[in-house]
Amino acid sequence: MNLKKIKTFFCLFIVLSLAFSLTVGAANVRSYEIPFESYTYWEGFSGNTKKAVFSKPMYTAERHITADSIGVSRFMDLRDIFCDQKGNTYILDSRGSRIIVLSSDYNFKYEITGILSESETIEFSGARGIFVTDNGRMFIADTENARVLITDLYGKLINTVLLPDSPLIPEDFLFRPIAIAVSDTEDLYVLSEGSYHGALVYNEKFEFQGFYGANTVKNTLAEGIVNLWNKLFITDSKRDVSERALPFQFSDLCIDSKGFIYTTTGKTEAESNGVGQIKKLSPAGNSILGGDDYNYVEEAIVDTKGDGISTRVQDLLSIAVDEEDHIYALDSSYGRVYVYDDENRLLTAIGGGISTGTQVGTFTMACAVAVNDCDVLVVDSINNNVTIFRPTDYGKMYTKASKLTKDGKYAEAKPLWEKLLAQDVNNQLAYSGMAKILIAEGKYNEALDYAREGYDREVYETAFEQVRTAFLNKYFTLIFIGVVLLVAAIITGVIIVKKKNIVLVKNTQVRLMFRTISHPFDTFDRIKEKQDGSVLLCCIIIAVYYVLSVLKNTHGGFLFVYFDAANFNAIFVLLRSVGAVLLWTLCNWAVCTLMGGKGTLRNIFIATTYSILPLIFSDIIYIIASNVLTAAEGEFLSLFAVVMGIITFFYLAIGMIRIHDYSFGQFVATGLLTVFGIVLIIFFAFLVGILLQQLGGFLITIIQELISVIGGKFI
Amino acid sequence: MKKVLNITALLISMILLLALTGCDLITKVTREDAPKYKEAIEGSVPSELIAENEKFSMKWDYVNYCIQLTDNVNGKVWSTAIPADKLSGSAASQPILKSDMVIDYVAQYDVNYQSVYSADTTACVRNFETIENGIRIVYSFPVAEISVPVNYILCDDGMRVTVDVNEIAEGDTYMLYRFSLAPSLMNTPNKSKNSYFLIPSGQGTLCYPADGTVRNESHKVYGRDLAVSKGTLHTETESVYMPVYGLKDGSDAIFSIIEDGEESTSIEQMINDTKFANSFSYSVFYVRGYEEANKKAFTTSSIKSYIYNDELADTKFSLKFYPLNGDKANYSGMAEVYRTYLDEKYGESDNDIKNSPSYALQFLGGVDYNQFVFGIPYTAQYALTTLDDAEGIIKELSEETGVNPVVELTGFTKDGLENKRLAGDFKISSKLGSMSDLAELQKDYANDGGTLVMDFDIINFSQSSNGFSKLNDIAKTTNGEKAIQYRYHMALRVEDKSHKNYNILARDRIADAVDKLIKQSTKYKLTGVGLSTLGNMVYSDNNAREYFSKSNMADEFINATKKLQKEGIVLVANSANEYAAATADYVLDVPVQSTKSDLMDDDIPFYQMVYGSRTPLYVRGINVSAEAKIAVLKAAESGSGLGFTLTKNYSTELLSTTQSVLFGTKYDGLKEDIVELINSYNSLYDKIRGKEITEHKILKNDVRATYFSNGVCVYTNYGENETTVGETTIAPFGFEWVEEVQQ
Repeated sequence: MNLKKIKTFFCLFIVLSLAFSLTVGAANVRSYEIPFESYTYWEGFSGNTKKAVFSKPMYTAERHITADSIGVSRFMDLRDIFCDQKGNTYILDSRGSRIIVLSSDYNFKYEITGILSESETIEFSGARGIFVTDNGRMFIADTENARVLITDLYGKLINTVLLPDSPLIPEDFLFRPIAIAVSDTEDLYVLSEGSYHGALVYNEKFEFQGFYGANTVKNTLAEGIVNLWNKLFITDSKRDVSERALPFQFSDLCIDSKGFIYTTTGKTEAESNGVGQIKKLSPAGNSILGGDDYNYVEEAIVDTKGDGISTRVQDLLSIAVDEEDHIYALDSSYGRVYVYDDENRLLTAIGGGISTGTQVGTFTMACAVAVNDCDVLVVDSINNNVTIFRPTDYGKMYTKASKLTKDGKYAEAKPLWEKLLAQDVNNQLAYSGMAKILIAEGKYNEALDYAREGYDREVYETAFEQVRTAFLNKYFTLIFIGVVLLVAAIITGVIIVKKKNIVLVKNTQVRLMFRTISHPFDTFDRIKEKQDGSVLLCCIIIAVYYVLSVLKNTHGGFLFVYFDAANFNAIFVLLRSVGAVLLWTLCNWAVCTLMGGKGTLRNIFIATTYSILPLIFSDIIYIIASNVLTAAEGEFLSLFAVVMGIITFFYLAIGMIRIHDYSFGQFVATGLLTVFGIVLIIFFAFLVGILLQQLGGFLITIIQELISVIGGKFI
Repeated sequence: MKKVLNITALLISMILLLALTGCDLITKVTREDAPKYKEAIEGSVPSELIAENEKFSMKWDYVNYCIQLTDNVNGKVWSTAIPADKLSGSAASQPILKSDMVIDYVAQYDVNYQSVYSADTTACVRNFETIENGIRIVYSFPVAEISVPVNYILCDDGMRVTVDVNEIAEGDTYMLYRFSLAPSLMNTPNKSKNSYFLIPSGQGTLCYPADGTVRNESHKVYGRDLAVSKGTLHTETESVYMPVYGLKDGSDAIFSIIEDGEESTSIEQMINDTKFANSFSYSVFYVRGYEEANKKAFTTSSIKSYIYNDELADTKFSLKFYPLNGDKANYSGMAEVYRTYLDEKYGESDNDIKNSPSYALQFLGGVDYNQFVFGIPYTAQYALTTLDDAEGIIKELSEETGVNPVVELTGFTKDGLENKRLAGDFKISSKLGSMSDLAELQKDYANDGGTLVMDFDIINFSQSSNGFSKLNDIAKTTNGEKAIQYRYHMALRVEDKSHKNYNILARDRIADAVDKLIKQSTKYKLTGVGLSTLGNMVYSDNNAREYFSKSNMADEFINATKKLQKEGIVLVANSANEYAAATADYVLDVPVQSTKSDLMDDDIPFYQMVYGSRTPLYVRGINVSAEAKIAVLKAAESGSGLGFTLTKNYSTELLSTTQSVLFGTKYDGLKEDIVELINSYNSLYDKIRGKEITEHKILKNDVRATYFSNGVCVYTNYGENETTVGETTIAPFGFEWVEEVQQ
């Protein structure tokens, strides 16, 4: 092996080592006050996915409410909790058939141990839901007795709602009410366990109105075709025994101050978290939160699937909404409450314990969540306690800043956002908040910085438009004159070149390369017949193509490129760009040699490389345009890229037809075979790679064994 | 050529053969002089009265087969087992209450252990021997073929119970896994009023059995064994930093200090369990470590089993009980006992505690992040704070507050905050400064009366360097594998595979690492170092008996301290365990709460009551705490100095880092708040600096009073409403102090 080769291998080794180097874990300096990590998700940071980052706690776990702490007899089975407008808290002890009422400072007020009807005391053991209206009516979802009990605040029965006798109710419908919501207009929404039809709605007279807001089954195209086939051709007997895809049932519902119903769907998939677990429903029952394709819980579970890591499928069991339209969704699997703002952005995740929690703030079986003013209350049905989470000063400051910004009180909000950022530089929403305020103040350049730092592309675009407009306004005359002069210079140049027959590009090879664009047939004929075309030039083209492909990722406009710093590796870009050209060349040569093609390896390589000139042009335009256009204006860029791709294909087709002396049909056939060959090579490359990896591992093990044995150490 | 090929082939075959047979060369840690179990017959007690002194008398209870320690002042009897006549109902059938010794034994690979109780006369045989001021009882358990000799010795201030593990005899079938001594000595009836248990979680906490809630918990002293693998990261926020526990029962109290073998101990609490009718607290000594091993059979399913150490740990266990009465029968009295014990064990402190500054700064140095060359990623170090940055901040804060803080530079070594080379190759990162600059800064700052140290992590590493090999110098688990440390995913709390694992240094190389550190310190004339990880991490190592079951880890730190102090090097510890808190010159990141489990009712500053008058203590970074106002109150209540964790720079490019506090450390935005806070706290700290906490009281739910030896009382109000104590009004979330207070 000569020195050059050794150098090449060494360089390759270094490059590969660098490429696959990973950050080693760090010694952790941490906060100890809460028994769970405080984190949030950043959006748009790492690729187009969510990125979990540590953040300043917005809530602290204040204390437990237990039977002992409020001086009542032992809780049997806490299942639900509700907080009314006056701050009173109603805790439903399901198995104990009682409701414990607490004052706004969580002191015991009274308890209801049975519902008083005229003739008897009704028990509601097994009840799963409770709701209290502002006008002093209490609704109990008496699950096991298939009814909703309506009482006054002291448990005196007012009415009982049963399963209505309606043609809308399916025959096999089982009425097991588990959650209740009542609107200001006294419409009653009842969720029945096992029902995939949505909530049952009753009017103020408790007359059944119909079902409301069910989940729908999402089908893939293939599933749709199968369903259609089944509908058309399957026999009744087969249909009876076939499985039917049903929508997932809601696990809880609640209502906000404006009358919108929010629902949670527990496990939406058997093995992963699925998406669209939270819904905000319009009066017509349609989802209006815009999160139907959004995973509301842990993104990392999706990421770690297949890594042999034991993760749990999350189960959103309960939901609450506060005055600011912040959504509190409780996951029982990890014992965590996810707090979202009204724009679907995660503020924080609180709680933990992963079903083994014994500390304040962790849970064994969290089953219900409620919001009392600022406090978040979570019921644990195994530990039989209620945990109070209270917002920290930081959490309160965020809510205030957010509200002021929404109300347009920017001057008041600005110092708060600044303070929030000082306390938590990882607060993505604070960057957005600051950027919005700076836009309102007309400080667009500063706004750009904040929006970019906070990866808020929407706000960035607004600021960017303003900055660009200001720039154009300021330099319009200069730009206009410049453009006019440039156009004039080009026209003059072209006329002079034509008149005087000046040859701008003197190198014939370079000239030939550029001629491909205007005269592809002629160029490829010359490559075949006169052996024109330069391999060196091709290498340069490939190198330029690679560099532009990298630059497109790293220096494309912020509004267009989701650069994933954590996972980006130019080696993969190299394989995608240069590798594709080389593989095509190689496979096409191999295939065409067998299929009577006349092209040599050199000619195929040159033709292929010259064909990608439109892609290079497309990349240059993309890099420049993406830095000066807004996302809305940039729609044409995708179109432009497609067009350039088609032109490339067109050139490639001409090139191959001419080089091999093929008809179009032959080109298509050999082209398909070439693609098949490429797939085969990639497959074998992976196979060899895996084998080498295993061999490497085996050798390392042997070396380690040897070192241990020789070193006299036991293993 | 053919010959060369043949020789090469032969060589490769031999190497392969050697390597494969290497598997059979697994060295077992064995000892030749291990006592063998012998059949024994029940002996007789030499006399009822075992020993006596002015304060106590120690007697053998013939009826209940246990020792009674009688307090001569008030006649209170503390018994190593609860007398049968005091047990009724289901409690009468609970052997743990009637036993003064419980052993748990296993056979190799057993997942579950079996227990034998000394109260079971068919399973336990005792032999007695008189020793000076006490009695030696050899407990033999024929069913397990294990005998454990225990010495009960009467002391001036209580009773000491010791076991030399080297004297424990085992048969061929079973192995002793752990044992408990006098498990029910510290007991009180369930739902007892005016009683509490002292639990040393974090800064210390109290558990009241009065509320009747059933709570059973176990807490490992000094935290979990790092060498034992752990799948899911659970939620324990604070470790057990002090090997003590206690009970106040009416007008009496008993306090226990685990004097020897504390690293291998757990402290158990059984509160209000109806089957026992009694609540009790005791310690369990682990004489063997174990590691979970999943054996694959011929099917794809695996069989879970445990692999235990072949031999017993080379250690000694010693547990001392201190009966307390009168006005000492509370946690303040317990703290006093513990302080005296520490003075005897570690010598009186010569730290300049009277001049300790009111706050400490911890600067974070470098952290890794991804950078690109032509789109090819490589790992670079991001300079969170350079030496110059740190110097600038120190100067600025010193000028504005008039105080030169204690400064610790964390993550300033070559690998920053990452665990790559051991102690970051014992050098400062060139991106952050140079060793000579550091030495100069230390010297200049010392001339100004300040203390500045650089922290060295001599436990965690993932790359060979400086003579510390990733292959040979790693602590081993009991199944002979390298003990691996994971990064945990912040949300899922399971191993985060996007970050590389790392290892912990073999126990027998810790001393070498300390020597290397001293050599470097001497070479560069460093005046102070931090040993954050050595001061609060404990682990086993299967390489030698003396390292089994985490044992003797305290010695590693104490030896390091001695060597460093001999060279005149100031030592700073963080979140320090007993041995570190008692011997370091400064302790940062002191705990100000317990782990807040269900067991823990009221947190108390027991840690500060004990160490506060020995070593200057500083709370964890207030700027990165969940609620700064609470963190300040905790500092005021415990008489600790303030602590801040700072960086000069930050970028959202660091979002992928595993560091959990960088969100709140950037100095520029925090400066004004920090200065204001320090200046307001200085006036209090000037009054209580270096003073002993003589008493601490929980006045109301939210109001606490801390009494210092100079008569100053600090009131802290954790409530949202203003409150008044005597003539002192305390603002919501505020503190006030009063001088010349009568307790």
